[in-house]
Amino acid sequence: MTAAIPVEITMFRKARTGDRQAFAELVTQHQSMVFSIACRFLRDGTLAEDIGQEVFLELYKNLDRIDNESHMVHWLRQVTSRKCIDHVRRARLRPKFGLEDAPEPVADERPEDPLASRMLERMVAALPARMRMVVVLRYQEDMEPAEISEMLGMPVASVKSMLHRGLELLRSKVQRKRGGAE
Amino acid sequence: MNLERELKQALGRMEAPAGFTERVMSRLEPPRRAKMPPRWVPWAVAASLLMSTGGSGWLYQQRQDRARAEQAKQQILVALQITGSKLDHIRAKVRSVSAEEN
Repeated sequence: MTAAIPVEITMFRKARTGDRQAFAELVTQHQSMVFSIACRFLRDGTLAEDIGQEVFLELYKNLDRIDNESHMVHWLRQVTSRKCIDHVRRARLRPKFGLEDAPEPVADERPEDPLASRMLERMVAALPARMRMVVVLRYQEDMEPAEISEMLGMPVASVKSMLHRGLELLRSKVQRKRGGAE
Repeated sequence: MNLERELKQALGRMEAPAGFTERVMSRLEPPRRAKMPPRWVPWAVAASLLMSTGGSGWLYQQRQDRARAEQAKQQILVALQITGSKLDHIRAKVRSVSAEEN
């Protein structure tokens, strides 16, 4: 008896053999992840799309170096993060405090309080660059600190410390906001 | 306040802009197709192979014929030399016999 091969694996294999339709399926499947990482980090939808497209074009060129579907997801997250960090480093962007033009999140579970979520999103957007990427990878992509450290080439201790400081910063801001609103 | 849970809710994945995949696909390099040689190329290759093997065969044959001719010439020269020396010998004999008779 042969076990059924998941569609994603078949698509990945087909894409590796040069099947453009299969590659288009892969793009559709992972575009949300790539775009979200870039958009949350760069705080600019247009720029996030440009970076996202570059990431997928690079993926196309490097498909033969990627072993399997999960390796591809890891590769996409890594290349997106690095491209975003490089971009910010080059452009020395300053925080813009706002994601007004960013698309609505499509989380499975709708937030209990959309306004509070929006506020948190803006607070995350205002975090320093590296800390922001660590927070996005941890809470958007649900990655473990060890994975983030490997992906960004940072010691695990630094990732944990950034997460801790980030949470403290966000907590104090939220408390100030909520305290002020009461 | 459970900040971590709130963060996970707030940082849900966003939809990529409509047409994202199509724009990526339009920027891909055209598929690399193996360049097929024109139809006449195999015929030309076959003809040149034929000509080169035929030509070298002809050259070989020429060389063989020349070698054989050279060998025959040498044999004829040797035969003539032998015949010449035999004739000299006979002439000498005839001279000595006629001298004895006289």
